[in-house]
Amino acid sequence: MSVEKDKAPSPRAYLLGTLSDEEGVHLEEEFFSDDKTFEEIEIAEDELIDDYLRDDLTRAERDQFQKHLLGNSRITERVKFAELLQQASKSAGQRKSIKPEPVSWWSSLIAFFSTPQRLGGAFAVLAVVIAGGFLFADWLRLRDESRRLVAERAELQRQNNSLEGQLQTEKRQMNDERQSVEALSTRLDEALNNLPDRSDAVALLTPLFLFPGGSRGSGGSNDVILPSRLSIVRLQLALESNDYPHYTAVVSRAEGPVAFRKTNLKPATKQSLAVIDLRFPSTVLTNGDYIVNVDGVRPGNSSFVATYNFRAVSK
Amino acid sequence: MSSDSSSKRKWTPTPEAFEKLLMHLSSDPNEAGERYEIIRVKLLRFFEWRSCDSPEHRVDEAFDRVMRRIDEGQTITNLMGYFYETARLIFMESLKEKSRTAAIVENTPTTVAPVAGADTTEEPRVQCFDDCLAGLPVESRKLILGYYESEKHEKIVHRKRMAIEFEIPMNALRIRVHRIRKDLEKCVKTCLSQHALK
Repeated sequence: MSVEKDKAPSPRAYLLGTLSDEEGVHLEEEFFSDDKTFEEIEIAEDELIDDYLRDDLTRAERDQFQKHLLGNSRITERVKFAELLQQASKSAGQRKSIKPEPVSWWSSLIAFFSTPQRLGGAFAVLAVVIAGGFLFADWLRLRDESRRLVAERAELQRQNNSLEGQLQTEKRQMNDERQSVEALSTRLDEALNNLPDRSDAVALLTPLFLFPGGSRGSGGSNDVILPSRLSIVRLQLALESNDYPHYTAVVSRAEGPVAFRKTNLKPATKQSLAVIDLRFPSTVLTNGDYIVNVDGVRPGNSSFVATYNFRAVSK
Repeated sequence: MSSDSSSKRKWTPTPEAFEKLLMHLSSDPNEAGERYEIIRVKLLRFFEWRSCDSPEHRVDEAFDRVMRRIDEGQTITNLMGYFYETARLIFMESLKEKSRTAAIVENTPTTVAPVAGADTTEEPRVQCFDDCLAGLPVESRKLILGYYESEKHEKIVHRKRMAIEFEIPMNALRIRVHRIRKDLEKCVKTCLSQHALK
């Protein structure tokens, strides 16, 4: 035949009966001798039937299909079969779209982001995730900071409690010491009061009777003679009235430092006169003029009562 | 038919003549049987595609003529070429026969019964189709259903994707689907014929 091999007649045109006689014979000779060519024509028949059902043929092709092939009962049967096949494929495709077969996560990811809208959405989500990440990191930082501050406050509270404890302990110790000192002082006073007038012990000097304002006592001067060895000076301070439960006496140089102080003094009545018996060691005195200020003490207040004058003179 | 062709039809194929034909096709009986079936189908399609009436009868006629020549001792070097030329001759004779009949019927047009949508509501056909489809191997079923899933332009893209998935060229995919489809059609046809016997 004169038909060139590279210009092989179309199996589709052969089936529609639109090839020339020469082209048709060439194709027929070929499909009789070559099984592959025959199969190609069979496939072309499949595709023509499918296109006919899907209305994918041109008008001319459709007319030719109906005129040339559809009168054959085998083709009619094949059309029915093809319709069932297309319906089954469509249903399977719909089921697949509802229940997709498992694919790799990477393929799914690529497929998902294959549209610009989804890609844009993905960037938006990514931005939110990044912002959320920063917020989360900030929240973590604040949380750590808060925990650190709580820990510091707890530590300060613990230190404060510890210091308060120490303070209370020191206060108790100071109170105990003060009470101890006062007890010692009391015991010392008692001891002094109870000292016997023994010349070989601490000498108790002759009482010097003083009146307020520096007036002299019964005869003599207001001098206290200081012996060479330790002695107890004894002053008897006369009160004009006894208006207070107890008194404080402070012995000091005139405009000088305090030499001796005695609290909680209670006067004794001698011949209807209230007299405070004040005793102190002679060592607190040196030569010179002294004054004794006496304050009356009541609970909650104290008031000046009287001042007494005397002079210390070494023997 | 001419008087010559009428005399040829008087010849009746014998089992010996049939054996000689098979021996011409192949010395192996199985292969000879396969080749016989291929030739039969090719002859059938030839007459169908040429819109010849009674294609199966024409196929028998073609086989009879070739068997007779072989039985008479004619040397045939190109058996397939000889079958084609015989079929073509029968077709030409059918055209003459048709023109004589047409003169009697006075140009009665060929009646084409258009298929206005296949009658898919036929329950046996649908049942047979479903059964045969379910009987296919999983991969074959997946392949054929996937192949016809899409339409228009999307169809081409989809089939290219399938070819990549199955790691075969596009044309190989077409051929594979065609063969599955052929088997499926054969199954449905057998099923329907069995159903008709019930």
